Amino acid sequence: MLNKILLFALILFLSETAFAENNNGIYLGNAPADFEITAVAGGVSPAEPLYKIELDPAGKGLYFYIPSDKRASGEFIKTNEFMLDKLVLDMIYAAIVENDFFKLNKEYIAKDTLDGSFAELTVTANNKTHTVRTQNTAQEDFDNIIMTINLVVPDDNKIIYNELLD
Amino acid sequence: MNKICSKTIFLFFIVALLISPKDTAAKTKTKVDEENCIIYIDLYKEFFVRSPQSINREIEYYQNKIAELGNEIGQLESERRRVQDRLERTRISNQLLILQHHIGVYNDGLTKAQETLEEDAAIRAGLSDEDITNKIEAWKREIENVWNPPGYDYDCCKVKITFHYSLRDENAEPSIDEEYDQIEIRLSDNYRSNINGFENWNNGFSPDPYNKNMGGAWRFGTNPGYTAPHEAGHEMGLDDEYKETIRNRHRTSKAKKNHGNDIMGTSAGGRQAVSVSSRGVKIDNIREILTNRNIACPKHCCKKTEQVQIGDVIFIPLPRESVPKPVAEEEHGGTCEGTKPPETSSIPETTMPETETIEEQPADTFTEEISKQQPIEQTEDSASEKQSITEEDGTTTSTENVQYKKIEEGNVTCDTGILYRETPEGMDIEVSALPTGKGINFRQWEITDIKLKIDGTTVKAKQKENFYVSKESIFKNAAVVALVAIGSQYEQCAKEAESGEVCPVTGKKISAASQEKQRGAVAKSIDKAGMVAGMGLLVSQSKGEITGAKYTFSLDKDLAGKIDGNNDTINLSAENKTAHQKEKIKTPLEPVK
Repeated sequence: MLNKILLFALILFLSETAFAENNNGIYLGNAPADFEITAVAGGVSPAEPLYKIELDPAGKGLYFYIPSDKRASGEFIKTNEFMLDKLVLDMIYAAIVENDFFKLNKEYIAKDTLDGSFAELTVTANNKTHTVRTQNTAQEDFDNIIMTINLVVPDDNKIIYNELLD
Repeated sequence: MNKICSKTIFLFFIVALLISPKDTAAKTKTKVDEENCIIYIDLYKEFFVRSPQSINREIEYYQNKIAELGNEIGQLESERRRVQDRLERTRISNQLLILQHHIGVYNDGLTKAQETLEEDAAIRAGLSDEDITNKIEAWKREIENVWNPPGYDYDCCKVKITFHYSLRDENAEPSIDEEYDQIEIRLSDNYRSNINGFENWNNGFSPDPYNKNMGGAWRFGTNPGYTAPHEAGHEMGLDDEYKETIRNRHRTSKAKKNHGNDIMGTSAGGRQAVSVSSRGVKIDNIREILTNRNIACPKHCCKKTEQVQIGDVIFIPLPRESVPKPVAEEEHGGTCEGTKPPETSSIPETTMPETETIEEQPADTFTEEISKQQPIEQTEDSASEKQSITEEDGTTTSTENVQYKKIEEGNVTCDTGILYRETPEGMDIEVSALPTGKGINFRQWEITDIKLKIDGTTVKAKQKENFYVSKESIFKNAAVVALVAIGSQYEQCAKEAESGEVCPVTGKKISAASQEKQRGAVAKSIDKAGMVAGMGLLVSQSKGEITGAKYTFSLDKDLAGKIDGNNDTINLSAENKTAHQKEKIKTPLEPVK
């Protein structure tokens, strides 16, 4: 009986320190083993370039670019590779959890606007994959996640769309 | 009481009308000048750009915010150092970590915004008002160049599209005189231009720009020759004609089918308001705008240029070398104006190819054909009437022969109708020729000259005229087109003439049922005017596609008698000015003796 109480206390203690929680229920936890993201953003019009970031579970990052004159072919050109620490992956994962990414709608598109820019994020975690697209409209939760990604990737490897510039 | 009530209601409506908001004038405006047959489309945009002071104020705001957040972190760190309780310190540490995470994100956003603003500030500092005005002037030139294609014709009207602009201070109220669209000029190269305000769409067209203020933002460093004209297309109600496709990790954004040269579909070179795709499909954005706005060219505009409308075919005569000589019925040997044309034989319709292959030439093209001489049938009834043709069957004596040939020479194919008509003076020969090219050059060819060569003598035409037909008519039955350009009464020969054989105008009676079933649209439309085509009034089609030519030659008896099939030719000259190509085409003269 005493052993069970001690075990429970230990778990409680570890929970308190390992998983900080504020009033909003925000977690800084471990990114799952299958955690992957792909983020694409750029111009809607074929006259504008596109950018893409891919992160794999090991933290390997790839940065791609399609210049405006190659939009018809649609082939991404890899321009950079980088590695992210586990802690950084955890931070990104935390942003995804914190902003309830998997509960966001599949798209947030401003129907009254033509051309402009879009951003699309695909996340795989815990055997679930979800894709969200925003186009010519700000979506706070989505934008927070992209900003977190931009925070940790190298300069010149950022995902850029109009709502981040406003 | 009722009177008081009625008066009150009446007064109420009057007051309501007086104080109701002024009807919003259309931002994009159209006007038809009926006297001069010109349609005007006017676009109005008011631009504003942030001043350096405004940008610097916002940078200062962000710097202050970042500093405040930094102070908050500092305070938390101090508190953590002060707290003795280990669990409490852990809690604050984790809270600090989260806050730093949040601040990091916020900071990054602020930093990015600040960087963008600083970039904008740097660009803006280097721009004078004159620089901005010059940029807008460049946009105006781009828009008006693309949207006023040379020689454009809208059902006999000219169309003029004008871009009006204004530039205001960012803090000034929008101009209301002309009620401009409000467009912010964004300086960052990362910004993607856009237009907003669309609420209503109907089959790819929106009336909103004509009814309300539109908004949006254009990047200062726009794609030259593309962004401004493309956005202007939206301002006239057009939708985008490009689409995104994702396949096998490829993400394309390219023009929709047939919009490869369309300013609304592509930013590639050659983009235009009125374009032809690589498949030969015409995209006429100006027509789409005007038809969606229910704007038609006044009908008298076509008549002003002496055009003749036959069905949906409108003809304009070129300056003629001579006035066509009216041909008496007995000389002509066929039907005359006011008389019923001979009933035609059944003409099987050619199935029109799919749009995707419309630029492909029909598979049965062939090189120069040698026509066979066909004996003229004579019946007992017509033996003594060498030149008369009756409407009832039996009378087949004819002094007219028509022939159809499809000639391929180099880059051009020529559908040719030839009429040989004996006259008291000798012989008249009428040649109609429809040149077509391959692929994108399908409708780029024109006949520049036709001459006869008889026994070494070059004969020039006494009369020359152009006519215009749709591509669809050619594909339905090129022989019909070539022959009715000479005269509607020759349509009956189309079936026989496709083989290259000379067909005498026989007047043979054909059952009405099979005739109506088989006759093509071109023949029907020509028949409505009877002898108009035969009288030499040739026209340009309202949706003018391919240019044909009809030349008339008059030979005296001596020269006519020299035609013996040896080295007597019809010599055609064709030219494709767009591709700088010329062809010489020869075909034998083969009147039936």
